[in-house]
Amino acid sequence: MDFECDEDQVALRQLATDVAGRVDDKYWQDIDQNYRFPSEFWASLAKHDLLGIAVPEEFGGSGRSLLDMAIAVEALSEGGAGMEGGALFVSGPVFGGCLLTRHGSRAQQEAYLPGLVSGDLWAGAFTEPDAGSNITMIRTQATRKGDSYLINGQKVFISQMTNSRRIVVMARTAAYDAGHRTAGISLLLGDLPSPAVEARPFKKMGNHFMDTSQVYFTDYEVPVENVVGEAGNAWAPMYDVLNPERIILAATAVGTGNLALRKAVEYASQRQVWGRPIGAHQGLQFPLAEARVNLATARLQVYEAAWLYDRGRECGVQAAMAKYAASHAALVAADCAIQTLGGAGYISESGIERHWRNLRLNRIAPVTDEMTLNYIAQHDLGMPRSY
Amino acid sequence: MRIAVFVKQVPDPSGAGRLDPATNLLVREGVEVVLDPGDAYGIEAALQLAEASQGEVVVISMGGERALEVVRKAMAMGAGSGLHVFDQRLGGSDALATARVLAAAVSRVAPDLVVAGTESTDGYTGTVPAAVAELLGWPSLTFAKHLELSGGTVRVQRQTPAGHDLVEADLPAVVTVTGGINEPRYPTLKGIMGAKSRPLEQLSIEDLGLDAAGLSPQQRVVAVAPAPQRQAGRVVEDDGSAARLIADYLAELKVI
Ligand SMILES: Cc1cc2nc3c(=O)[nH]c(=O)nc-3n(C[C@H](O)[C@H](O)[C@H](O)COP(=O)(O)OP(=O)(O)OC[C@H]3O[C@@H](n4cnc5c(N)ncnc54)[C@H](O)[C@@H]3O)c2cc1C
Ligand SMILES: Cc1cc2nc3c(=O)[nH]c(=O)nc-3n(C[C@H](O)[C@H](O)[C@H](O)COP(=O)(O)OP(=O)(O)OC[C@H]3O[C@@H](n4cnc5c(N)ncnc54)[C@H](O)[C@@H]3O)c2cc1C
Repeated sequence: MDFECDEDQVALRQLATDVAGRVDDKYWQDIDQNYRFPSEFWASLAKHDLLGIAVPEEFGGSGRSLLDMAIAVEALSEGGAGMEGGALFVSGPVFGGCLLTRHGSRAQQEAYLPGLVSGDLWAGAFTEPDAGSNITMIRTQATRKGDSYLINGQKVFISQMTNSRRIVVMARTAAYDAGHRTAGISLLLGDLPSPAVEARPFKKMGNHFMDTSQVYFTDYEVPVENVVGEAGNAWAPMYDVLNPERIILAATAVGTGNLALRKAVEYASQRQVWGRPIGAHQGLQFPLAEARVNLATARLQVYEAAWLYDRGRECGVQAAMAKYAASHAALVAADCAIQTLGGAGYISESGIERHWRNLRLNRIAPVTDEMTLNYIAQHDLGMPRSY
Repeated sequence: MRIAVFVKQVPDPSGAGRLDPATNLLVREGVEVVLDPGDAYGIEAALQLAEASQGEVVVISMGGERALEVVRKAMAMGAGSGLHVFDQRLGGSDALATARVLAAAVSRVAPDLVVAGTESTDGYTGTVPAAVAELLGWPSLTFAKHLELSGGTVRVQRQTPAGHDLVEADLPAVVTVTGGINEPRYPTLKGIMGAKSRPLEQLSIEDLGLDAAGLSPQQRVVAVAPAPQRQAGRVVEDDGSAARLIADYLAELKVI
């Protein structure tokens, strides 16, 4: 067992920290308040080759690993970019990069990966209003017509629709079969914007750097060669997107939680109330120290899950555990940070409450706490499937 | 066009520096060390000149074992090769010894131009580059806030209190650049990974054809005293005449 980062990973972590450090908290506050996509930051990620960390070199990437992506994401988040800086990696490196690197045809890889490395944003449209957590119940249809599929249906809570150039749509290419629930589900790649795709963004609690929309597909045409993997057999490829998504969002949470802790510790060492820094009170130290323990533990689970993924091994349980542990550890860390700042913690300008609002999402998306525990009970503890 | 750039590793300027009470020299072991922020401007300037002339940049640094990291960093930013002068006997070198070593390294690299920072963040003598130029018999151009190459000459805008002088010299020459001359790039991931496969030499005193005996420090720090405390300022209560009082005071200081 080796806990040492290699030389490149050390340099990558430093690079990510530097890139995050180039942007101050005012920038993120402005993004938050104005519901704006951080295009300057996104461009900087592309410029420093961070979007192509795990994309093979022949398609313009650096040919490294999901573990390296997790290390970079954690450092970006912790370095000041918070949830925003890490979660952005889902919208390209994960939805497009992980999917096509493992399951794309040569033609798809050539057509899509170089653009992804240089900054194409990707949306992933899976969730549906009438299916929710039970994704096998999706109803969006992709119907074969000559050399194309026509997609019709409705999705909900889909992120980054406004700025995405590419979209991965999960749709049925065959009718639902109760005996084989996952059969007939396909993943299709499309280009955006398109008049056949309408997105209506919601107002929401946090994560304003990305829009989240209700999406309607009306005869949205994608060529047959844009089906990823085998038509009707998308379940395995899907998990090579969903697991990295959990891992990357868990890394984001760990980084963001540690960012909140750092801000809290800095404040606690300066703020004097009873003639000495409030940080001298054990009552403030314990929750922060406990949050630190949980973040450190979650980080190990993140790294292990990524390490397994990189070796092509089963990582569903570890990814689920990483996501669960990190979501909780980070949310509690942000909450303790708010408490440490007292009234100032509640004020947006202090740059703390935003993390809490953003991190709250991780208990719901990309998969809820309850579904995560269902999965662990079934697949790790071997208990009967309860859902 | 071959451009050499000097880079120095220094204790992290954002940390509190400590002096060794025995030698009065800065403690460099067991502290965070970084690329001198001033040298990042030199690297960027060299890279821009090299990119414009399809030239190459060679990084040169003298320093302890860890100074290899700053050579690597400059290479990750885009320099084509590196030279690290590393020799235990150089510990505690003064500015002149440093200049002798760097001059020998420059002779070996044989560049058309040397770019350096104006002064280091730690030692801060601001004498090394000019001493190197003198030892090589090359022109020394200092405080450049802009520099360009044309044909066999280098032309710089030399920062002055009033604005700038235009200074020109034949190549080869040594130029020091001021902070803020450009915006230094960060290494990219591909730069970091690519740098590992490019040549990086580590040389000793003898490798440079120098004699260790001629490099012993001539300078000794005799005493060190804390900077004087700043005097309390004068507070002017405004009773309507404050503007006048402040203007008079500034005029007295010849600020206005
Ligand atoms: C900001 C945001 C961005 C999103 N971005 C995307 C995106 O880009 N692409 C995409 O496809 N989706 C996206 N989602 C959707 C997200 O993945 C879903 O919201 C999530 O999977 C939960 O589905 P649901 O909202 O339908 O909840 P439901 O399935 O309706 O669940 C409601 C509640 O019931 C619980 N529950 C359901 N079934 C069980 C059970 N068997 N046992 C115990 N409890 C159960 C759930 O855990 C939850 O607490 C996003 C959501 C949000 C809020
Ligand atoms: C108070 C004090 C304490 C000191 N403590 C130590 C000590 O503990 N250990 C020690 O070794 N030296 C020490 N020195 C000496 C000092 O670091 C050397 O003189 C130094 O190598 C060169 O002087 P400078 O830093 O003033 O360079 P400057 O002339 O200010 O530097 C100008 C530029 O020259 C280049 N340059 C300078 N030095 C190097 C180098 N080594 N390699 C590559 N490029 C370089 C850089 O581009 C730099 O921006 C100390 C000096 C002082 C005044």
